[in-house]
Amino acid sequence: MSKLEALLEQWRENLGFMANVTRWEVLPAVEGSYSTFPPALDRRLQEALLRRGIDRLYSHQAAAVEATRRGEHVAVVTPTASGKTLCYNLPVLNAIMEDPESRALYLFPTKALSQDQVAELCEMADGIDLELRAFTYDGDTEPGLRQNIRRSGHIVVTNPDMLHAGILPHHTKWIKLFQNLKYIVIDEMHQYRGVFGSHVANVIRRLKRVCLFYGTRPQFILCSATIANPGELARTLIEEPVTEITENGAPRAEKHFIFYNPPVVNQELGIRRSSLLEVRRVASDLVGRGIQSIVFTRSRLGVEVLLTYLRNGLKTRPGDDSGIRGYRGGYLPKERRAIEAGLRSGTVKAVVSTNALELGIDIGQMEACVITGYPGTVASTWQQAGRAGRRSGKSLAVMVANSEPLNQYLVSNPDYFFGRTPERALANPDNLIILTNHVRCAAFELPFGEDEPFGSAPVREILEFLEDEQVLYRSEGRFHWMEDAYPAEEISLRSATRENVVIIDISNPQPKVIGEVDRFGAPMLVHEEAIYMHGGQQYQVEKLDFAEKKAFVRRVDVNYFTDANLAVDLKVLDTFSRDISAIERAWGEVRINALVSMFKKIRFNTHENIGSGPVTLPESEMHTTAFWVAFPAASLGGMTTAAVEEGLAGLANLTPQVASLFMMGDPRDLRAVCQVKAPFTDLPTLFLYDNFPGGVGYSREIFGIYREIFQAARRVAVNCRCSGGCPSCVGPAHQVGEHGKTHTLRLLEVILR
Amino acid sequence: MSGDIRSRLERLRRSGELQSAGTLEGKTGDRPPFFLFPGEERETETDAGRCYYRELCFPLAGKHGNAYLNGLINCRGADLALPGKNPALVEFSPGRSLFLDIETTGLSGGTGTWAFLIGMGWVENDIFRLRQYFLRHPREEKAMLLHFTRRAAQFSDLVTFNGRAFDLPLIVTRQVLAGLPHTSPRLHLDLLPCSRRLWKERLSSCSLRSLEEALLGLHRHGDIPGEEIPYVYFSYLRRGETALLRDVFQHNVLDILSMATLLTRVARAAAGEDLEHPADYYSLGKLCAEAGEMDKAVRCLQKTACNGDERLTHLALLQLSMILKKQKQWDEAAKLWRELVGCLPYDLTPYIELAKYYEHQAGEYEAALSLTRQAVERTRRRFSAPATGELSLPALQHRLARLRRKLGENI
Repeated sequence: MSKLEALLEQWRENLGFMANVTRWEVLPAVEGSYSTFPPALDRRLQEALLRRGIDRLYSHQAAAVEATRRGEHVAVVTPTASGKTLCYNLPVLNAIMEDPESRALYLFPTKALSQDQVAELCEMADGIDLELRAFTYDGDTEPGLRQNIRRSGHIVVTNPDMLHAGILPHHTKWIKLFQNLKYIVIDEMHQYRGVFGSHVANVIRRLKRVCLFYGTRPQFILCSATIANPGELARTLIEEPVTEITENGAPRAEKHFIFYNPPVVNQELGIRRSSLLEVRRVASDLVGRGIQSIVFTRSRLGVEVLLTYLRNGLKTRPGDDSGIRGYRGGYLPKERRAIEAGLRSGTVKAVVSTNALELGIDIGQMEACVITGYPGTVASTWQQAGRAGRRSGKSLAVMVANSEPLNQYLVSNPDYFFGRTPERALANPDNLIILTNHVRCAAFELPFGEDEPFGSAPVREILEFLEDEQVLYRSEGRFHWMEDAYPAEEISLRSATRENVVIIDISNPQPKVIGEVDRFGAPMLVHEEAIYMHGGQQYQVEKLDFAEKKAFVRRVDVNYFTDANLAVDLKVLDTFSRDISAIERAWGEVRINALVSMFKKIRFNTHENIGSGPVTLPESEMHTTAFWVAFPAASLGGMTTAAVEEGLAGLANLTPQVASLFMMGDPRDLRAVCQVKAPFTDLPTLFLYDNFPGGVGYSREIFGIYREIFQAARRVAVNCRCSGGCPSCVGPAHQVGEHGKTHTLRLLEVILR
Repeated sequence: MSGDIRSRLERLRRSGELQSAGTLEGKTGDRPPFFLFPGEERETETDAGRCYYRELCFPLAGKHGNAYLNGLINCRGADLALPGKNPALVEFSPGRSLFLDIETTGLSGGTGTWAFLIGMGWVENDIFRLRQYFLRHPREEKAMLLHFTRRAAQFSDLVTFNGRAFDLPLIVTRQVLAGLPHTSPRLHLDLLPCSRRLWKERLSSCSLRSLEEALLGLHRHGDIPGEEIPYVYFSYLRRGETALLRDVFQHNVLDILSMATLLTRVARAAAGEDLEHPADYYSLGKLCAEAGEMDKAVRCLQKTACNGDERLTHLALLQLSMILKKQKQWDEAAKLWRELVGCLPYDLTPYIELAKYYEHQAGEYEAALSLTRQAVERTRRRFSAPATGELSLPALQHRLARLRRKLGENI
């Protein structure tokens, strides 16, 4: 019996432990499904694979090679550690061997992944006697190397931000690449969702436009973690027909997946024991038995705290780290490389990490993985859990929930997780603000014909608007860029508008920009005294200069977060789709006017209100999309106005959180507004709006899958152990009223009737 | 998505969600024919349509600032190879070169920046001819570039000021976009880095404007500031305003003429003529040393050491000592280093050079150890500027440890 099996047995017999386990799923071992090398694969490439001990391909790898051979765009959707990189490296290397002039562009969402890719490619090429020139090209690339990369790189590995601001606006310097571009590889496709995805879809429109100028129509190979709509997302991003490859051919050993819910310590408030303390216990059991483990936490602070706990727990001599390491952003690249190597060789026994290690950085496979708190999406939970799992022998993943509503939903509804994933990655490339900004960039890159399409978006009116704005100049049926500006520099792919408030850390003598928030969100997130979270670190806002769009923050370590009290006025401007039955539901364009008047300080975990303060900032205005559901009097079966009001307040607390679960969003990405007598519908109405200017597609999606979402919301409320409402479900009674929970459930019944 | 896009855009502009460039002024209709420089301008036909240029002649015997244009003819490639840091420039012939300077719709570069005025100058018999292509309308760009490209191809060599980073790449970008051959001169002399190498010890700025005032005796009055130039062109294009355009043309003329006299000045300075200041000798000496022209380097540096202020004298002595080191004249070099230790407070080079001399040449480890220790001390107490390579703290400590080991072995 292995050490892990012994521990699992011990846990099973421990009633105290099992009382907290809400699901112990055993995923059985699965045999691999294989294919011989496709004949199209160059003989030298086959030999190189053989030398690396690969004498056949997984079925999905072979399918990807064959589909690209047929000239199709491909989306490969398989889990972590299923040999995904070969799905694109093989076609690309094959093309370069056939014609050394061939070029490929690889897009990864982060820089760290790029480095690993290049190393792997070069290793492959070494075995084939192919003079492969693969380079990363990003902000860190030395200026002296850039010209050579532009001229002679076979494979250029970069990220969407660099493509957007550094490559496309200078495409004339990349003639060789664009004239010979055969493949564009987009890995971690599911990351391109929401605002980021809406931007990236437009960057791809620009990329295709530039390729066309040089006479190429490259093929796309996309890879994604498992989501509900990979094909739809791929088609949204590249606007081409896509062949989906979803059958995973990689073998898998038996895996135990445990959902662990810490015991309740305060029944009334629904407060549970800290997940960090529970993780300490679980991880100590593992590490103490010498089982190589990875522990994920959500913050940098969590990494340091757990590291101390674990080292102390093992009662090691001072200075002896007993092979336990931390890993997070902020560590030097050299330190990180050493830890990665230590994990591969086994000298590092355990690593405590933020999600920095979630993505494809090569650390080999661990035996066990402990996840502190739900990582936010099913996809990244599987990616983290996928870090444990060797070719042979059992592996273990434990997810320890915290008190937050999403965690509680997940841990008490494991089927949501273990069933077919309901998560949709959504992007809205035609968000008018994002689209218009990319039309500016595209016009900078190449003049626009009057009737030239931009992907599937009609842009004639946008071009004429920009002409009137004196940004473009029309001549002979073409719109030319005619302004002293470099538009890509002003547009961040991470936020919807250009009008951002920059967040400046003044903790050190040298002030440093650490992030930005959009103008609309600024009064809520960075009002003076707000606690702003960035990379797991807390900062307090000292000064918000709204006119100059700058927020000055200082690092702090406090036990609360802040929540701004927002007075929101919502006005429907346009209805895009409507359905009237017993209830009325619709989605459309809305205008939100928001005024922040005060903020509250809320203690972590207990969610106690421990203070407040005023905010004096101007009202902000945003145009976005909203979904709404309205209740005609007949549907309400005689509920009093007061009851309806309490029910709506409960729905407003509950639904955004649950809905964001289906959209892979942050709970803050969707906001709710309820109106007891909405001017537009004249009825009690619940609005859910995309909390991004222009909208990113959430409202439309909710309109389509509203039943699924409200059913999930009902499950949360029903399964919650509180009696009259708590922060984990419909909100505490002092907010939604004594019978708020009952009234919320009644409204849910009405919707789902 | 439904909804009238135009009115949605207007809404977003009003709410500030879409940043607005500002004014929404009426467009102008047809403009009258462009007519700005009677007698100087020409409209010419190309395979890609018509384009416009203006031509001016300046007698080579004439003056620009305090210098004669004909100085140009006597410049020797050999003198330019040194400040240009390119031995191939020996073949360079100013008399057969194209002087190029462009005015653009922005400084950020990239494919969206236009060259709306391409100024070029060259020597023709006893005149300096100056031609300015002007983009009267975007539709004429290809014709303008085609005419320019063909004319430019007749010159083997190119002279610019900051053209390596700006003018030439921008021209090439426009040529790529227009599907034309790229301008690729056999030799390219960029006067900006040359000037920096020669005068940065003396002048706080090496912008063309500063060089004109300090070296060429030219003071511009009423010159248009560079950052306004794009807007002059935009208001010409959108509203037909030509008043300020003349200033842009004139600005470009002066830039090109100044390049001609600056080239002369660079060549003379490199030849050791007209050197006005010990700093100039120092810069030249350093350049000569880098190029391996040791005798000339020593002469220049000695001049600086005799006439310069304290700082320059020390810098010159340091350069001299490194030349002596290269020539393995160890005792003379060591003498200079001993002199320098202590008088160049922010530079640890003499300490370490001397330490190396004691360690590897003289075999006096004690002395080497003591100097290295002093260097470490200075670094720790931040008496010296942060350094890299062998002057960095880890390197110094490494040296210290090695010397200690050697001493331990020998005792």
